[in-house]
Amino acid sequence: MTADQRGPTGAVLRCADARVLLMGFIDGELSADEARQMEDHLAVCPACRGEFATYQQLGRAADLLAQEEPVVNNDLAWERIYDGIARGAGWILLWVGMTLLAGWGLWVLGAEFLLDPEVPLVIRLGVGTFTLGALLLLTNILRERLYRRKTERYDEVMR
Amino acid sequence: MDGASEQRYLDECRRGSVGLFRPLVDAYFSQAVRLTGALVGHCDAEDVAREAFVAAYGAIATHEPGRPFYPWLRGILVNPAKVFIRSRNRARVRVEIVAARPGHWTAGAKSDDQRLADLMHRALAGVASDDRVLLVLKHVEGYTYDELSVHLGIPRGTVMSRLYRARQRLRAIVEELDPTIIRQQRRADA
Repeated sequence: MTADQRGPTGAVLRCADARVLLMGFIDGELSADEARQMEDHLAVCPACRGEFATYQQLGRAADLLAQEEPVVNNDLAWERIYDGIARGAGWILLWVGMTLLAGWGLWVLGAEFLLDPEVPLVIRLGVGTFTLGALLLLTNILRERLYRRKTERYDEVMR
Repeated sequence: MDGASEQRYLDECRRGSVGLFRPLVDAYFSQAVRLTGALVGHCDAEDVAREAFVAAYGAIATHEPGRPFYPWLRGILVNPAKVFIRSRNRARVRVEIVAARPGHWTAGAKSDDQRLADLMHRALAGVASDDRVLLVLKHVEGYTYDELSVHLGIPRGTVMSRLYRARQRLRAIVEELDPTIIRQQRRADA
């Protein structure tokens, strides 16, 4: 339709705008005024009417997915979920243990190795910078993961 | 499951009970698999749903007492599904394998419906993960635009334009997979 074609109520809607509003029209999400404009536009625009019919059909086809009925084995599902929960607890304990051991290791390294005047300075510097670099890299990876988690758009999808 | 029982089980889980998480799994696993099935395809739907239930138990302390369980779980379900889609995209798994329907899944009584649902699964597998999530939340979970807007943190108008773009993409894939199907459906409905 051309921009100056008018529907029965005299409202003008360009095809480009109508195509976007079409989604709201199909989903029943337009205001009464917008819906009236769309009806007017569809009454005089065969191209948009065709689009309307196609997208309406596509929507109905997609709605079929909501009617699917997966038949699941709850016993098996529970068994694996339980295993997953138990494994999660195991990982937490493992990480806590590793963190404690790593902390202790760093303490020992700092107090007994890096400050030991009998160890050549170049060795102490090498070990010190290597450890510092590893810690910086680890912190950087953790920071990046946390940042991604925080800014992930769909993380909070719920209602 | 009635709301009071659900809250009681959730309270017990927050106190550390694992066993009382089972009634929640029994009540919602099938529903969760339907959602993950639409997001990642039938083959991997149960794995992803199980992973989400494990994550949900781990995060149970963040569930607000008094709120229903499934909407909260749904928020968790989407994330492993998206991670899965990305990893599969990297592995370039064929769409036919992704969308293969196990024999025990049904999609309405009519075989035409089943054929159409299968086609939609195959088409969805070709849609980008963000758009796929949007389409699935709309069509499978029945989100309204306001709900999509609030929970995706985008304006209502953007929801509409993104849905348009996502449906354009979906339509292009459907027409590529079966150029006549939409026309046939329109004729059948007429």
